[in-house]
Amino acid sequence: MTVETRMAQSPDTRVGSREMTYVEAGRAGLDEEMARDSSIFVVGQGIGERGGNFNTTLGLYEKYGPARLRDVPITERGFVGMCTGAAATGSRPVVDFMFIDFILDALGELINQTSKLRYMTHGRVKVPIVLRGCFGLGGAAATHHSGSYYPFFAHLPGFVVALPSTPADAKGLLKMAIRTDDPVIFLEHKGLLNSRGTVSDDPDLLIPFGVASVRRHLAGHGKRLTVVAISGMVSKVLAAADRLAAEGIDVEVIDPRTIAPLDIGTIIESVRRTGRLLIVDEDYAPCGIGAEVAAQVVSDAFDYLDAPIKRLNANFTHVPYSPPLEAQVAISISQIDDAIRQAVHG
Amino acid sequence: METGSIVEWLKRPGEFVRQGEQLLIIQSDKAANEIEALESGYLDIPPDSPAIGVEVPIGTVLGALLTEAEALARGLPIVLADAHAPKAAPRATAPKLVPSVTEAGLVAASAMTRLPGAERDDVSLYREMVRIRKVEEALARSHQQGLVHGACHTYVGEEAIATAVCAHLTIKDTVWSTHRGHGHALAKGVTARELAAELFGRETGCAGGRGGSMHLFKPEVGLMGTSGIVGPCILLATGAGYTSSLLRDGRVSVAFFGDGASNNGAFHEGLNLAAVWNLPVIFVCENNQYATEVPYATVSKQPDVARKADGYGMPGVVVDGNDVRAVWEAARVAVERAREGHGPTLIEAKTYRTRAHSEGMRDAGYRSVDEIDYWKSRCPIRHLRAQLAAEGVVAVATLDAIDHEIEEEARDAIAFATASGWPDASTAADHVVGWKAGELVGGEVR
Repeated sequence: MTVETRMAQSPDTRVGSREMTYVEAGRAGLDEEMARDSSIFVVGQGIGERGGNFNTTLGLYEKYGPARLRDVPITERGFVGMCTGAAATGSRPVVDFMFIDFILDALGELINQTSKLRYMTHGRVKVPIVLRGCFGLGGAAATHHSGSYYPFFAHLPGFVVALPSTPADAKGLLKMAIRTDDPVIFLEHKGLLNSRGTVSDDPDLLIPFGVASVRRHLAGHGKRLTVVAISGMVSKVLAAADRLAAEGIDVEVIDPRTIAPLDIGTIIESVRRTGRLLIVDEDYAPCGIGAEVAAQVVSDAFDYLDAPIKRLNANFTHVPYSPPLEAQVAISISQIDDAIRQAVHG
Repeated sequence: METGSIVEWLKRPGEFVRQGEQLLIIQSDKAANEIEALESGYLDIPPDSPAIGVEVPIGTVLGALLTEAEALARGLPIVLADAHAPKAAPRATAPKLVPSVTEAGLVAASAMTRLPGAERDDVSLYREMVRIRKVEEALARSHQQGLVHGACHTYVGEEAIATAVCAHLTIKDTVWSTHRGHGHALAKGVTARELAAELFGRETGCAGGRGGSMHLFKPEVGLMGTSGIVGPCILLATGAGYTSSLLRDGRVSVAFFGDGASNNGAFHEGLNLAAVWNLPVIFVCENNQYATEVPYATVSKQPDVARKADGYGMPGVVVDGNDVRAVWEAARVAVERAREGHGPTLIEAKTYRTRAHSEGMRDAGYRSVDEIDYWKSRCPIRHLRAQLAAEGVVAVATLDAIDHEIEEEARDAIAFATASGWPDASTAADHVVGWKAGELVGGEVR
């Protein structure tokens, strides 16, 4: 049976909204989709009765039962391959890795099977699967629980890579990810999980892939700069932009929301007005999303640039445990301020 | 007319009957009448339906036409298309499937459709084995002529396994295979033409020329893929089983893999998951004794792969992979078990490939000519042929006629592939993803 439902990019005005955390918003989106489509199931460690290490599925087991909230053994390759086969035959799995570092055990399956089946079957098999997990620095999570890895997936054909930075986007992008007939890597920065924001209760509100959000527009006075900020860096860059307005710096902040597909058009349009670009990304610089954005901007908007493109990334090293060591690796507030000043004045 | 008796059912239990199709013949005191179906549905003939020839009064219920859900709830072995049904139009029964590539493909699939639990049909088994053999030999010759561009891993010597296992499957059941998958593809319903064209890299191939020997796909008949990577098919079949279990759609899935995969982590992870969740999966290990050129005996202390099943809490069965009847029986039990909700089975079919790992590769230095000759003498086709001749049930002339027919089919397949066009080069980047940036999707609830 097929039922048509509404899809929307702007909320139904008759439906209310609520303040909630990032995790609650993602969970609300998952709950709405699971209620809507009985072919959706979630796998992960402790996502059943326990509700997920990060509360991603809290309360859902009671509603949907063990077949749809399936606790799995610690066999990432196994359950990613299993979910790929399930997706190819008519169900819609959501794999909850808890920490995205664990996805690495499943790379062979993801790259050779999950991302390639649609292509290899000449479009006759679809693989609707969501691969979600928390990433990023912070909390002394140490070397095996602090990775990012998203440029891997953006490098390969066949994946969507979504990096929501607000509760509303966490809900809207997760719902979109679940409804899409292709693999989606859905990454939640650990530092965002308890952040709060207003989220619509509209069950049909979706956020499309490849549409950036301009989080801060130019004020119209001062030295102009475009900053592209990824995931957890968005709120930090917004705070820095507010601080630096007093120094006569006018920053436009762009959150790509998905890096595959990448909304380069919105970035280029902004650079045409500002002439300067900084990319702030907690992941490593070499071959990262900043390099990709810079290459595309140079290719398509070189004549509009008034200064070299700058990048600010975390230290190119493994992530240590001890808080002062970890802080040394991460991007600090003062580094963001300095990078913005250098991009404008340098 | 006050009484009547059934002369013949023209449809079988589980078969999809369209409105207006002839359903059965009833003999009354005046005449034999063909009775047509007043509505479409899956045929159910309950146990208390009168037997053929038994006279019963008018108004006696003979059977019912059910919806798919009702049929599955009743445990009916649903068959979408069936070659034996005189008026079943395969195309018309296809709407629940992904649209077909070619009508010929679906016809071939229906020819391989069997009712689970049906009687063994030795002539069909013989035909299918000969079909795989002769098509493989034709492909090997084509490879020598440079018409097959990349790798070509033949299934020669192992034909009994795919043939016997797929004889128990419908086109809704799924098969996940290996790099040595031509036999699985043919047995599951890929036509010889589509197979040859795929290896030739032509647009008429079963993957539109995107795959070649190692990447054969025809989801319309449940051939979900052969693979260039050893092991994943075990996990993918397990996932297909999860879907069947979640959606209760009555399908089973089969993973074919070699002894090489049995030492891979995917084997452990997949069998464990399938067993613990009781999934309808049949794991078929074709132990041909060499992983590429590495002897199994040198990489596993346990000589029987099937014994490993015990570690996962599922039945493991060792069977002579060169005896099609033995494999058929083992597969019958395993498929029945899976369909009835009793979970997965591991079947180890001991066998041997009598050609090189891949066509054109040096086939020496790791096995002896004597060993190859011994296994050639155990050819599964010759074995069945000898059995049938000795039993006298099937005339040798019948088997000879099949051989000739299949030779013609193989010749036709190569001619078709040769005559087929190349894929349009501008389509090389088609079907990477289904989304467009900025587009909303998912208006339908499935």
